[in-house]
Amino acid sequence: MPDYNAIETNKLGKKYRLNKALRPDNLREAVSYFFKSPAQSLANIIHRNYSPSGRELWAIRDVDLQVKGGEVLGIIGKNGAGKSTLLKVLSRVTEASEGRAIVRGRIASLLEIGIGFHPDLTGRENIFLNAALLGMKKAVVKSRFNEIVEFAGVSDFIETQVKKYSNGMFVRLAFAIAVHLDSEIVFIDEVLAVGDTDFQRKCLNKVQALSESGRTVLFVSHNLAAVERLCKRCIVFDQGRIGFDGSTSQALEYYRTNILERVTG
Amino acid sequence: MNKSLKEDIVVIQPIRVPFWRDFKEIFRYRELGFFLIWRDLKLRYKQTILGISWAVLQPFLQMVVLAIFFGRIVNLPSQGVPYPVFVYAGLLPWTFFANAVNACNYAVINNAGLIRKIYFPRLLIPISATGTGLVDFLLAFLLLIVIMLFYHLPLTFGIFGLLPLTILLVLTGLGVGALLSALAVVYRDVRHIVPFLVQLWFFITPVIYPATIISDRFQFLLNLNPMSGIITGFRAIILNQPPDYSALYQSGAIGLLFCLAGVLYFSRKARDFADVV
Repeated sequence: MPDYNAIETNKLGKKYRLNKALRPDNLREAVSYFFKSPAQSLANIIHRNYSPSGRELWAIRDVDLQVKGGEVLGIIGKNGAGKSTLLKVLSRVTEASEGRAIVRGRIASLLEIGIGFHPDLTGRENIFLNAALLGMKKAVVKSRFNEIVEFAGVSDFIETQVKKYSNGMFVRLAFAIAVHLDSEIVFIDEVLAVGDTDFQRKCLNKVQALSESGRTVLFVSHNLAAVERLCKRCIVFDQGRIGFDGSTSQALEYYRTNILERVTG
Repeated sequence: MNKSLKEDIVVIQPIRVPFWRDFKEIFRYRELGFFLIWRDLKLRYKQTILGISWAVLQPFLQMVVLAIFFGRIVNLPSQGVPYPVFVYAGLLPWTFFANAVNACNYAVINNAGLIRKIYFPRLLIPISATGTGLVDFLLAFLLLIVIMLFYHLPLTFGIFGLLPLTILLVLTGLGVGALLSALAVVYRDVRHIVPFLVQLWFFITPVIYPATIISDRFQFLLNLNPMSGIITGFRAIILNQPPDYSALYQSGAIGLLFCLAGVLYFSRKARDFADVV
């Protein structure tokens, strides 16, 4: 296993503003707001994060995390605990509000299945488009094209528009693209929940193979059995912070007793 | 750590990065830009019988309508050349500009799903929207040559003068498009204003009438509109007349200013598009 940190974060945080009134989002509001409180609107223009009384929500905060190259890290937590936000900040979809992170390597991120797929394009066309969206070179996609198609099991439908695909075929194709590209880091966010058991097993094997080939995987899932199988290490998110970071068996234990219990009890 | 990894280190911090980093990123993602253009072209003409010939038919039909109304019925002056040629020479750059501005506006909305889920340099959205229009522009240009031959207008090497003008046109379209589409994300109303604004802009630009019908005293006002100098320049070159350089420089400078302002504003606002789009 290569010895370097693929991901390092230091006090990483992402804040969302809940009180919309402080930041008008249409012209009428902006104009009337300017006359009501000119000082505040000027402050907004000068400093875009200024909000003295607006309610804020820290989706994640004080996240300190080191992920070694080649490691498969499980991320669990309740809905809204910050798992997906972390992946979004790390993949630069959205900006961090505080702290710092260093990412070494390109990220292929499966935040949602089939994002960037266009229903009117064929399977073949979508493979190239989707790979480009994940930042991959056309040449790489070409060389792996058959592998992708075969893994997804859609060889007979590759010239068919994906709107005619079944749900399963769609998911399989999207997953196949992301895991066959040459990015060093792969984010998988709850995508294994779809597809039949046969394909799920295939995916799990593929994720394992990825890590063996030195790829770093961040694996978000509610499927605790899958996390247990794939990851040696696991973090538990609790209300935007890392509640636990350690071996998967201990993490699951922590999750079951401290978080799930709290909800039911 | 292998060599390729060293090039792919990204530092994530809530500080403003210098804008030229954005251009480096765009260059890295240039293949995606071409894919987005290819996708838009492919989708636009999919399931149409006439396919890509629409790119030529649209400006042609527009020319016919305008030639009948303003050439025949209203009898607008056309600098001593047949009105259809006169109007098409203006329509060609105008259509590009109008399509670019509208396309940027729609592109940000249509790609909202992508913006929320995937990272890529956001400026690629207006750039590829403008690029798609450029393909249409080139096809429509072929029709211009046909029309010129039809009316026995001399086709000289002077036509290469259109090249720098086209670059200026593309930059202006991109700038205005990027500016308005970023504004439309921040202020939703702008989304609905844009098509109306473009229509209004058409009438203050000398497309269907020559710039000379405006009195000399107000020419400077006309040339505050970047499209005005570009279109009169296009027309002069196509009709083999000396272009009005002072108008061109004035409009050109304003066009470039629009480009700079639009691109910078867009790339600044795009940093939190994922949270607001």
